[in-house]
Amino acid sequence: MASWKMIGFPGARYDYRDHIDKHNQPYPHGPVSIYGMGG
Amino acid sequence: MARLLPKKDAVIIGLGWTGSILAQQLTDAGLNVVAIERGPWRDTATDFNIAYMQDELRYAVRKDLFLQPNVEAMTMRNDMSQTALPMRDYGSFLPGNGVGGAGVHWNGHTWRFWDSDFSIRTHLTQRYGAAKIKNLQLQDWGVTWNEIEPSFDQFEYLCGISGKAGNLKGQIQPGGNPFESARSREYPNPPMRMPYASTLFAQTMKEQGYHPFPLPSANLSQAYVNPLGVRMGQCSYCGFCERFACGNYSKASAQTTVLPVLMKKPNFEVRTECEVLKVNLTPDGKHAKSVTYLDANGVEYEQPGDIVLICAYALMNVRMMLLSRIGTQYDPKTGAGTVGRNYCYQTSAGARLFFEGKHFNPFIGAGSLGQTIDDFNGDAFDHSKLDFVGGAGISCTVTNGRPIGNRPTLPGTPRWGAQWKQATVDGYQNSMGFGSQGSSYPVRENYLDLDPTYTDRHGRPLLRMTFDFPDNDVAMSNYLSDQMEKMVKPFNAKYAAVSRLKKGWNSVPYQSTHNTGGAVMGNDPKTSAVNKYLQSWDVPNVFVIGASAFAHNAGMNPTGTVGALAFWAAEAITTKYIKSPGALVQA
Repeated sequence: MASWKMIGFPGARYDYRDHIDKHNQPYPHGPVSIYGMGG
Repeated sequence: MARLLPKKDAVIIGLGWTGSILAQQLTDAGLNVVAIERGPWRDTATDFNIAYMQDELRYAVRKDLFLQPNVEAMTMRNDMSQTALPMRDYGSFLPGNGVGGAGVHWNGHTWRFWDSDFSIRTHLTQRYGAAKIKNLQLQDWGVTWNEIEPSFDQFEYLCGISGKAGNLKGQIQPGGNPFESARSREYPNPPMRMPYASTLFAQTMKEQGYHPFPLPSANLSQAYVNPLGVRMGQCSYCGFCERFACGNYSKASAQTTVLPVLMKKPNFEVRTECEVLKVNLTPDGKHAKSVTYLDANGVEYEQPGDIVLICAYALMNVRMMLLSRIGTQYDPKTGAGTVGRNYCYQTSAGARLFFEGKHFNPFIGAGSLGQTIDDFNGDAFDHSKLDFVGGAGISCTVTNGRPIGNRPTLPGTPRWGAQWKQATVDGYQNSMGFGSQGSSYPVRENYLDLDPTYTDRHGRPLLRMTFDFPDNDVAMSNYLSDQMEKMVKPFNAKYAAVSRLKKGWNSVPYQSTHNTGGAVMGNDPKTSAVNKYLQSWDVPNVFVIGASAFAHNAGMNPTGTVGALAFWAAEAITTKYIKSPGALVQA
């Protein structure tokens, strides 16, 4: 998960419907793993 | 000795997109149908669970859902002077495996080939003269646009395609694709919401005078109930589409559109993990009586049927015909024979741009999420002063930000170490791309046959592919790269690179799972393996359905046309063939 944090990949979130329209803005949440654990 | 089973009205080889559609339509017409599928049973709730479907290593890298070469491999070469060798792993293209076929792991780009594709030889000859295409084996498909359009409509409504019509009954519609052929009605769902990169692409293309439109998508923009009553969900832009199955019921596949209805029918049965070895013909070779298959325990069965539908992946359809001696092998030296003729692929190039201070958020993606221009596709532009025919759609899609595979870096970046790490940090949020997906036109020397040396685990010859990018297509693709060189300038990117296709097809790096032709449809039994209804000219109770029937490949993804051909063939079988079995077209 260190590399996910490094590049800014939010992990296995599966639902970005609230963010698809927010163009050119930082995504506000950190990564979650496939087991649902936060980083 | 094979165990002889009770006869069915129809035996379907392969339960992917086409097999499912054919099974649905034929069982509706009252036929007893069995589908025999080599791979496993797969369904959304049990096999595509959203709790583990985002496993990039398992699905994208280790290719969990794909056909493995120990089940079926192929041999490959670029030209007839070479000795073809078997691949050790699937690379350039990735056939599917199991129920749903390649429709499980596709991205969902759902195009309609154009009027000018189905009548390509007539069209190009009228516009440019026969000399223009003398080095190409382009031929009309035998079916006309007006005949096939309702079948496209059926497939799009089955899937709930999200898009914007560009040509409604001849009236050009703002916001859609002005180059598409006339459609009878609007898409069943509105376009998807667009991410930043695709929006920036569309704006920049519009400013340059091009005609961007939302890519028609089988990732659904909203919840939908299809004509069979099957409910589908809204796409959540999760970024795990191609190489993955959808755990969200929002990507159209056999599982999410047809199987929930089909599997409940008393006159349908599927046998999974059963591999058909061949179609058995009567001694005169003019009638299919049964198929022979092995189950998971290696027990051999003979399944008789009145109709045999070959509905596997395009390449496997061709191999099944050759192994069963349905039709005659194409000979590139003489041009005689039809099975294996007109194998085509896809001819692509791409542009990648790097910026500073951007937030593209590539992980907010979907397989078919993007914008396209067709200004340089097919015959949308004048080729009279150009040394090629054909073209490409140019699309900016945002499919994923998966961290193993998607780490764009500037050219010259070290391949490992601290500098590479920093470059991937910079590139991840600051990079976008777009690509040309170009047509692939048939030439005499690109073809499929059975390998003379290498065999599969059952001792059957492997399929041998002989393919290289024809000069025409290389010229086309390089012209598209020239256009993309101009297109990238107004983006004012820090760095932009456009790739150029070269001759020498390499089967190792992934390129496209759009293999077409080999059992092409047409009006002339000398140049086509199946007639306009996808019925074998030689064995009329065999239909061969899939991209194997494409007489050429256009600058578009094939599945929309594959789905249309499935409905088209199903209609011919249910309204014509079962009333009067025999050849639907006299040779």
